[in-house]
Amino acid sequence: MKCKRCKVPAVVALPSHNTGFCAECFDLFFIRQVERGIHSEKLFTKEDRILVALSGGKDSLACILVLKRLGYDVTGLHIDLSIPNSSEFARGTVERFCEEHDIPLIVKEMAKEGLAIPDVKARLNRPICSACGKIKRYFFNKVALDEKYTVLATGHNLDDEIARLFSNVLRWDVGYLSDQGPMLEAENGFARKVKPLFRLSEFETANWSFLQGIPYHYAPCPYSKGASFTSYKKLWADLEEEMPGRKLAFYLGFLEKGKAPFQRQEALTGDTLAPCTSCGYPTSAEVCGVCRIKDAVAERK
Amino acid sequence: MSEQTYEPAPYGVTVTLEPANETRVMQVKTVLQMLNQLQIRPTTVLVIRDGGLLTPDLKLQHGDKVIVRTVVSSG
Ligand SMILES: [Zn+2]
Ligand SMILES: [Zn+2]
Repeated sequence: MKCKRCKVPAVVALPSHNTGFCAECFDLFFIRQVERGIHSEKLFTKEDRILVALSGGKDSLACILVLKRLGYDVTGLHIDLSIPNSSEFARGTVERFCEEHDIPLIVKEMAKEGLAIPDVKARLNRPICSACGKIKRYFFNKVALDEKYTVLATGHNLDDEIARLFSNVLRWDVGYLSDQGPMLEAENGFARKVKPLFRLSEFETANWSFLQGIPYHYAPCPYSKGASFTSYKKLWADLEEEMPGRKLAFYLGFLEKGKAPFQRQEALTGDTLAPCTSCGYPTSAEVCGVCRIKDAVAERK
Repeated sequence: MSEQTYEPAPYGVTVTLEPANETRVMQVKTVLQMLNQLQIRPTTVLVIRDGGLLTPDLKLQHGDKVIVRTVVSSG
């Protein structure tokens, strides 16, 4: 197989684009897809101060590296969950990566916040994953607002977005459908959230990460029993093989035609948010979910 | 080649599956043939030989050591 652009041997085959690229031309392709996504959805500009959530996985590291290469003002944020035999590896990967690429990094330790995940898990009677996700989102937002970042970016790719969209469609969840997309505007108490890799598949991101020498960090959380969206991802892989390009078309179609009606409906019927009486975070209850978890953990000690 | 007589490795391509870290030896002539036998879709893995990436159409040879690394993130 030859590179579509320069005809030397290809190293990446992309059935969804019916093409293949050499390392250099694939880099160009990847970067252009990111730029195109940023511009078409008006995610941010060079004036924005962008905080990028870094888990230590390849997607989040690829996200911050590509934005830095494009000349954006980026800072990494890592949430140290204080999970034994797991968190220190993720944190080490992030710290080494940021040091090597000269990227400023903020580390927020959950143990210091009274929210070490093992303590939270011991206190909960339901699966830890939703609480953990809630805690991470809370601190991504809090650090962004406290430290005056204008944008919060995450490394979600097209496959993540499709799996989530599909799950929301299956439940016709108007609330979630109204605010799914590569950009969520800032509003009372929330920073603007963006997903700069939304046009790129997991496969494309993995290839780019490999070619950039981004360390392969595979550390599934010891508490999670398989990812929630795995079966939807399999289903979509079948569909994509039958109809290459279907994933991106489905997602872009939703943004263009599906999202606005759901937003209008949500504005009429959705929950209204008010600041948490304890910490000020927007919530539909009186005290937000994270403050309630924190209280439950503190009570036990 | 006469040296091959002394080689203890079984005839074929040595394939390591990551992240499971399972190794097997396969009698396959191309990357695509290997993936088909493993029942793996080409767009769900990186195929790596000597630190470089391989596309499905490429030929494999006896003695090749290949890594098949899944790209689907767990989160
Ligand atoms: Zn090329
Ligand atoms: Zn609160």
